[in-house]
Amino acid sequence: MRLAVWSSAAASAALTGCSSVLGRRGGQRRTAVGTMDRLPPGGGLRVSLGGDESAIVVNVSGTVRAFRAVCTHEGCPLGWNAQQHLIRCPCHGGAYDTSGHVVSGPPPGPLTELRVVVERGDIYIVR
Amino acid sequence: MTFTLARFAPFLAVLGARLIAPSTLAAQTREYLYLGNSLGGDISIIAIPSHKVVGTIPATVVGNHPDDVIASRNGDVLYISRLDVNDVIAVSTATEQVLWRTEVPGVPNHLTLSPDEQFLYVPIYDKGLLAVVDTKTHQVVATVEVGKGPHGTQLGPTGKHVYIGNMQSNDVAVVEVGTNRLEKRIRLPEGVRPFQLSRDERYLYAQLSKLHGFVVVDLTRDSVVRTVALPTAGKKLPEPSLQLSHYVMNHGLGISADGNYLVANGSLIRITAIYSMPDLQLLGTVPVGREPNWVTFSRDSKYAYVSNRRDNTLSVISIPERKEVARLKVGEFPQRMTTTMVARRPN
Repeated sequence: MRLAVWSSAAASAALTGCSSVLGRRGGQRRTAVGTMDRLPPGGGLRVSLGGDESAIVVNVSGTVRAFRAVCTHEGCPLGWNAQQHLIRCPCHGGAYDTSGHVVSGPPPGPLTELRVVVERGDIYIVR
Repeated sequence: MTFTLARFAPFLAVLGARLIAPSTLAAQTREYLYLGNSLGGDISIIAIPSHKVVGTIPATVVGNHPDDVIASRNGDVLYISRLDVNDVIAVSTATEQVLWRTEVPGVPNHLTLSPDEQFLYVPIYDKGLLAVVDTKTHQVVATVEVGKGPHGTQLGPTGKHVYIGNMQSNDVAVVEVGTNRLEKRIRLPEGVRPFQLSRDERYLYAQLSKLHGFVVVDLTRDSVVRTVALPTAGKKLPEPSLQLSHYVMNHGLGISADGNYLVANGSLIRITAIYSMPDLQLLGTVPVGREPNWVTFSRDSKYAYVSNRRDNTLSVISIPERKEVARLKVGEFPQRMTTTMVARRPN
């Protein structure tokens, strides 16, 4: 029943900016960020986690991963470039691959990975 | 009589059109602000002085994280540097479509034009280069090694030099217009962020990465002669950090078109400060949005515009009133912008 509630709320959360925090399990906060039908293999999305926080969620051959959307260079918010399949920084051009590793530009280190749970096609970020 | 008039109607129409057209065109020329939304990939268009958002050049035209937006002096063309694809695009203000595109040899940052507008100067942040793009042939015709992390560029008011602020080698490079020869590099205490030049090109005003204020460089001595501390407006200055999503104290410094005012952002404490020129007396401090990033002015110098990149807003500052008179919702992560007179926009 609880899962059903989560799914309903998640389905109503638009992937392009909205999120809904759906409670806690064992002290962890789960945030619904969208559904798998919006994230085909090879795809990526920038999602809001509420407030200033956002994440980049990617689907790498069926495996969903998420990263904190904050550049390790100067802390700028990151975007997803769908043509390049890269996570890009709009401040100084840093680029990260779908593993969060630096591909080019000034970032000194990889992105912080976030825990992702997918249940019945709904995507949650767990913190 | 009717027959005679009808017979001459086509000629009268042409004559009338020729007589009316110049004044009509002049009347239609309006001032606009073009603001690049770096995360959204689009350009917001704001009418001046009504300060209404009147249009958007969409991400399908621009995209790829635009870094800077500047205009040709006649307002016909916007030049936009794009971080993701290492290029510069020229966009017509009349059609709001791409006219041409030129790849550059790395990540392009803040642009400037040569006095005759034949050359576009493009600092290449990750390669330590200044790329010179011919706006007629759309080719990179020269590259000049200028230092590490070239970020901003300014054409000196005398038209003889291009100045390049280096973020990583902590200096300003000076390149001669025409020959593209590196003349000198002026050492500064920290990474160079937005900067401006005095009208007589004697002084350079620069924001530095960790300074809450700006320095004044005497270009006849190539040394800092004054450090101006920005007011704190009663706020405690936070340490720059990644968590603040802004690893520089300040970003955004401009001099009004009439040369009478310098406006500098205090990006960590959400203010902008207005100074008189050339004496740099503080005239007022204006609260703005979060992470103010850039400053530009209306042509009549009555308004300063500040992009608040964390709020997705644009602050409209009345210079005479020393206050924010409007805050407009724009696109996602608005940063660089320019004002220009435009004769025609798409209907």
